[in-house]
Amino acid sequence: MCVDREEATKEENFDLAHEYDEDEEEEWEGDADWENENDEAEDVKDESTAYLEFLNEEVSLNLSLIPRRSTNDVQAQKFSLFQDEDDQELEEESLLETPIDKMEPYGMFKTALLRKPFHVPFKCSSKTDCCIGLQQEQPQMYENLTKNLNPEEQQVIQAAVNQADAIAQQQTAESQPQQTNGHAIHSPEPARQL
Amino acid sequence: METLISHMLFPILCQSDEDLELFQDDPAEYLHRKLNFYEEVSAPDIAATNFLNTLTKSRRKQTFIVLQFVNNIVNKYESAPDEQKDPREKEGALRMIGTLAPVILGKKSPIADQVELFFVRHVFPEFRSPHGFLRARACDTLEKFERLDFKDPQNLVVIYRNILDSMADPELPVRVEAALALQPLIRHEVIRSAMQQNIPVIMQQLLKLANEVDVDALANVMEDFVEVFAQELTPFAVALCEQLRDTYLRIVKDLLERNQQKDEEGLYGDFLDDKSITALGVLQTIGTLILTLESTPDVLLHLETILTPLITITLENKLYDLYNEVFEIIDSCTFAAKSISPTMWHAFELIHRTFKAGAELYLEDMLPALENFVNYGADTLVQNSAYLEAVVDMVRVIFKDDKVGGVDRICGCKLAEIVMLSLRGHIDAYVPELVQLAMVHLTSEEVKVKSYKIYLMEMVINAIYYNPVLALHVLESNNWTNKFFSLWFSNMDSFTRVHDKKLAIAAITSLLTLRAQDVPVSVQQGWPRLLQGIVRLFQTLPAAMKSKDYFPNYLQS
Repeated sequence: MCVDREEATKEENFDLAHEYDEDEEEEWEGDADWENENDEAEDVKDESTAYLEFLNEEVSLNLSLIPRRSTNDVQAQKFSLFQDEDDQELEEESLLETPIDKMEPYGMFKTALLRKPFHVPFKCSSKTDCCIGLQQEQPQMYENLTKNLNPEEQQVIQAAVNQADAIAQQQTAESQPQQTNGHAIHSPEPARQL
Repeated sequence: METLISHMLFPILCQSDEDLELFQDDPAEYLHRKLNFYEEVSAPDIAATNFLNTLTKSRRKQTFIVLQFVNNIVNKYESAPDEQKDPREKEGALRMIGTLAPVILGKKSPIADQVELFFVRHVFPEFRSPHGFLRARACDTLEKFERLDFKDPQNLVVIYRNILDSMADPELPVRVEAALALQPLIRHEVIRSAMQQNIPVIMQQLLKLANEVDVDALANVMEDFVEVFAQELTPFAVALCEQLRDTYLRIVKDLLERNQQKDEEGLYGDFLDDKSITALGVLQTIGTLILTLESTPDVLLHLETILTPLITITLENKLYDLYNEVFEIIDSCTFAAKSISPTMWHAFELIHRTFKAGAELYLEDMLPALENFVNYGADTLVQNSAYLEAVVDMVRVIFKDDKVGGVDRICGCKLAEIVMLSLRGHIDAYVPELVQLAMVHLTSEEVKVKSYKIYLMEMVINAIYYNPVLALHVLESNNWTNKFFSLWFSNMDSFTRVHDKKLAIAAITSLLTLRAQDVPVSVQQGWPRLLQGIVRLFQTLPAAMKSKDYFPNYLQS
């Protein structure tokens, strides 16, 4: 055995009550402060009663649930949560990679509006010739759409078009493929680097 | 109190003759009895430990009386000549102090720093005790004091050596208790780095134990180690996975056999018992192992084949409690591979069959895997109309089935969405049906939570993005166009996520490119609102992208 064992056996006595100094009594905090305790300490709340109360709450909670997946409590809980927080906003979620992730909305919008197809971000599935720049192909409709915009809204449109140009420039500048396929939550390691 | 302790609690806590007999003759039952204490609240020894717990938590002072008693016993044991030592008393005393561990190590406990000494003097020697039940108790005591921070690193070295020896002990309960004690010890750097060398052997021992006795906690230990020692275990991943699968298959076969017996006896038994929980633990371990292997898709491809029997047996026998983990495994494999192997397409067939055979309510658990099948298997789906039909069929069923709730319907919306996004131009035939499903529910009287409404709208928005002319045609021929656009644009601010906004921008953009004659009369007047809507989206998109909840799945440029 190691040295400590020998030292330990030399100790006179492992006597906690003996070593314990009354002055240190305040040190030990917790849900029951033993300093304030005397021999006739008040009754402690019976845990089994507390448990029964807890069960009752559970039952009344569960009664409000639509019964589903009785074998799967977690799901049921999730469902109740869902109901309770009805009006909560949707959360960003989904580890799924969808084509939407790769979509560049500014360029897409600009192309549709002004037809300067520097970049066609989506494959149009429509059999009709729908990828026509509105301003040039259908000036009347363009006019009709834009005439109701107030100056602030026009500014936003302009800013989106500018943003499309900026992103396009940036992409050309950094055309060296440095793509990483980040997937922040799923894997603990930077495992998804290509 | 002293009398109560010495004459009632302590004798109850000590091993009875039956206990010791069990230890020898039926160690598995002994372990079951000792470890699954929560099932035995009425057993006298459990009642005694509960009493000690409550007593010392509520009346801290009493702790000293108990400890005084424990000290007397262990000191007596220490000083007695070997032939006069009473191992049962010592074991009972260690059990007693172990019960008090949370209090003794509690915040600002004045005695916490004396525990290490106690271990050195009174616990360490018992790792070498001639009595198996005392060796097991030494391991257990260590586990009970898992929060103890040893000051002398040398002590941790001693512990580690002894735990490794105990894991090879001739007595099963000692091996199990040692394994359980090892788990929390990995938080100590000394032990963790020492284990890096031994982890393959340790995993072998754990697997062997898991096959000797159904103790679900062992699966937790394995899962923990697989995660912490991922790097060290990667070279052994395939073999490890095979063994885990075999363990799983063995447990499941036991389960099925027993369920069959129950059926024959007319008993209805659909509860989570030890075996199901252990099986679940093994599945979770496999799932964790797979997650650590995401950067090595070639290994995972191999694992897919290894795991096929596991997936098959679970789904074919309708082991509902184990579905979620099985679907997670399929999700992880397909996600890491970014493509769908023939093995996994076979799994897809199984999933669909399972779904049709009464597992509609598990769509939520299946969804991540299904989304991968559509997303990464788009080419196959385009070629294989039966597979495509199967996917759409699941959406159809979930919307038609009256017993499902909003959560499941949302899953249907998500599945429809990924189909429309991934199979652009290939599912014209299905789009009208998807729009109809969404609109019928959107316009129905049923009370819907907000998120469900948004997902229903997004199903239609997806259809518009997929093909605006086709989508508008469906809306128009059902007199839904105006209704839908009013709903959509009056709820524009509810589309809060980046995904929602980008999708809406894409859909509006595709509408903007329509020729005038393709715009239905019913919405022509409101058409300029399209630009106002997109303005709102562009105004709010940057903030959504900056939101802390948004993790882009790709990093552009």
